[in-house]
Amino acid sequence: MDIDMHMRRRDGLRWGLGLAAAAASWRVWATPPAAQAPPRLLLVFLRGAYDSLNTLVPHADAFYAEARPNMAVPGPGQANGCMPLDGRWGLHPALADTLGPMWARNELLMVPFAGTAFVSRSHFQAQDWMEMAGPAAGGFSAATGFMNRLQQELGGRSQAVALTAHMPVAMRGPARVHNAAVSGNPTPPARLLHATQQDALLAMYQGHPMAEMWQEGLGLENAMRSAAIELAQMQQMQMQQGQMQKGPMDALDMDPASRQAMPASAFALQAARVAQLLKTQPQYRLAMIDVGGWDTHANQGGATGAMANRLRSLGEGLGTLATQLGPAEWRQTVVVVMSEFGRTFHENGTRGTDHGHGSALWLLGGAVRGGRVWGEQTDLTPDTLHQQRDLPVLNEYRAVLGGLFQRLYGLDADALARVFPQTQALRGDWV
Amino acid sequence: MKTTDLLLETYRRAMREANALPEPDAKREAQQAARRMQASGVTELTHAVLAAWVNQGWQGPTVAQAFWLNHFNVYAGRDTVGAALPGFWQDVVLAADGRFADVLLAALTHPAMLVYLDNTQNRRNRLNENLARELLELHTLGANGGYAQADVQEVARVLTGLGLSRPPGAPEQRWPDALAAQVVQRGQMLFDPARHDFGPKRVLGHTLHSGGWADVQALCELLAAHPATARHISRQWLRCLTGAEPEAGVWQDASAQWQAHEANQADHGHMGPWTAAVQARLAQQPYAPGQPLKTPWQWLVEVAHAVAAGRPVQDAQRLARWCQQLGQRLLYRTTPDGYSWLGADWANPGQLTQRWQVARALVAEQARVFGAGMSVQDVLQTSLLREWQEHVSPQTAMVLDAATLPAERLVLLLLAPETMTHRRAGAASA
Repeated sequence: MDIDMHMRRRDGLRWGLGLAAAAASWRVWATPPAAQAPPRLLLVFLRGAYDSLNTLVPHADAFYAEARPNMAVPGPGQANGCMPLDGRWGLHPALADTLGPMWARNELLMVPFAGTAFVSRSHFQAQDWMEMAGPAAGGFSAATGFMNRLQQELGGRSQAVALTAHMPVAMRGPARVHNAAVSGNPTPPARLLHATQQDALLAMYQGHPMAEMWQEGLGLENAMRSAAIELAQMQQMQMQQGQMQKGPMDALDMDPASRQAMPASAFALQAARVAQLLKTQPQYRLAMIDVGGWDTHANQGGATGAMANRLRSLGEGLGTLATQLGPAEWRQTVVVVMSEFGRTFHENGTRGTDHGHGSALWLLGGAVRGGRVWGEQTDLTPDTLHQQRDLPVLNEYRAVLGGLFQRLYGLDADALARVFPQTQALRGDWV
Repeated sequence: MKTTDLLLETYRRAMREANALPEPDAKREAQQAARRMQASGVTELTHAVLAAWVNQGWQGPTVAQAFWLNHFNVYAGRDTVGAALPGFWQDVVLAADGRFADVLLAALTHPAMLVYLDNTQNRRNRLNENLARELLELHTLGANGGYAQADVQEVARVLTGLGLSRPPGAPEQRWPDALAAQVVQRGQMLFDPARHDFGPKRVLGHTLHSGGWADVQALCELLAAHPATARHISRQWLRCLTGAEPEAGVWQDASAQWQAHEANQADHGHMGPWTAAVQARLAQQPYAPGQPLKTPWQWLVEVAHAVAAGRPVQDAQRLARWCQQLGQRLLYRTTPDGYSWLGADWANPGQLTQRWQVARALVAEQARVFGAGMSVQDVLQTSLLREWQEHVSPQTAMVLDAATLPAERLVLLLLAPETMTHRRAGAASA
């Protein structure tokens, strides 16, 4: 026993060294060669039900402006008017600087009248429902999320990551998913990594069933911090170059492109870090991020105001994501933007909108065949509204996403049925 | 009017007055002021509960309170639920040591529950099944408890008329003489016979034919005595104690004992003896390595209790923030199923790194949270933490011994497998 203890003690003295090597190996995950890597999918979930009607604006429908006398976004050509996409739809002016160019490059596709057949006006019920994505008829009790089920189908070709402090429902399930919060803090953490403490933690858990989970958690944390620091360095360099070329006053007066390079809002900064992380950790083919603050029951504003500011920040983030990934990676990426449900067609008594039904889903990416509004549409009249109050759902989101996943990942009918049970996938040339 | 209902009464009065204001800006301001009052009441309750849990540690009353609060989960962010929570805590959670039939009646008819699960909208010929469904699925029989959709509808009929009284200050409600005797009012809760379905109801093969409040009471008796309820509550309780699905034999014994207690006890609590019996049974289970992760509540309360070392909590706000950071914010679980007690549902990489952050913050800020007067070195020398340090594996001991600073040693001890996971099947920790 003495010898045994002695040996263990000696091992104990050596653990620091052994684990330093383990720490260094975090970045050496099994990474598929770029050519074989499946496309990257980033799900952006707008929590709180964003008002799609003041985002993808049906400016040609007179009923829209009638229903929202205090908060309709003006049509194209008017003061603060929306940016025309086609004869019927326009983009909120707060998105024109960021998503407008993307639309012009055919990298943005909008699907109006999107949503689920399940009618719940409760945020939490609807979010869970959207993220679990069972069949509309019910009878689907498996508490797994559709992103987790997709990860199971991709198997070794991908690793999934939720850039959220807590595992979102869409990512829950048997497939192992990494998760960590993307901090909105504008200064990257100065104390890098606490490497000794990390090594000690891993030594305590060596051989324990949770050992791998610790490694993944700390590995992702480290990668995230590295990404934040690399990004800050790049920004500093850009800033210095900008100042040298233009002088200090010009650097402050930034054009849209440079605003993308130096993000103005917290979400844009997060998006930049996400892009940096996805670039440096290419094993993550499936990723998810949450953006909150869309539950605009009062004082929502129209062309300007509270929601316009949220949209501007969202657009900056998505623009930053594309810029930061760079053209080659952006071509390998599809971003899906969705929300739990839409909001009422009419404005309410407090210049806001209440919980509704149909919404709009967006696809963005370098390979997206965008520049168009896709899917079934209908006239907007009091009779066509769902329950006389909401946008109807004509493009079931699981059918759209199912079709997209088929196209992106070549899922066969059985695989698709495992991801979205009892769904007839739509066929579309989205990518 | 009980003092615990004071917040709900005050809030409803303030809201009623605010809504009556003609000028939109003044109205909005008054509504916001009322909501702020409600929110600060919830914050106060959260801080008081967390401070009490940390002071007494994760044992006995703490575990029971956490269990029943979670079992009858309501969400503070919904409508007037927050204002009803101090009363709910007092009259449901703290009273949960009694007969389950009584506890159930108190939970089911509390304004917090009636508002949270929409029963205020459930009336004769206009059923809202929300509360009825969750009552069967979550509070009593369990998801496979042998009831059908028809039972849900019949239970919803029993619950018709249960809601809130008119807000304080509003003209008093009057009923015709025939109905007036059927009115039941408890605080802000109102059983309104004018909205109740007095016809006979057929629930789980039994007919309830009294009509009115008597049917609500009979329903609670029926559900509390049902074997499926004993199985469901026993399973949830065993999950709470062990972090895992119960082993069949232990589960069966616990269910049988629960049912016997519920049948025999007249008017005083049986949770104490029952939980003691269940824990004693669990203690006989052999130790198995690789036990499940503790919930954030259990881990945080245990480690904060240990670090406090007898000092009372002075800054509960930090505890509340850490709870939230770990994904188990008190009183803000949105869905009626409550938080999961299963370790597997909490074990993910992000949870582990968040615990690392919280452990670092707890050790760094211990003097602020619990008061100056003890150094980290002092904390490590307390009898509880000495015991923790003595009962770790050789592997953990080696890592702890290699830590150069007391704070480093303490952080690692709080994150050791022995601290983070259930020690053996079912020991709720010493």
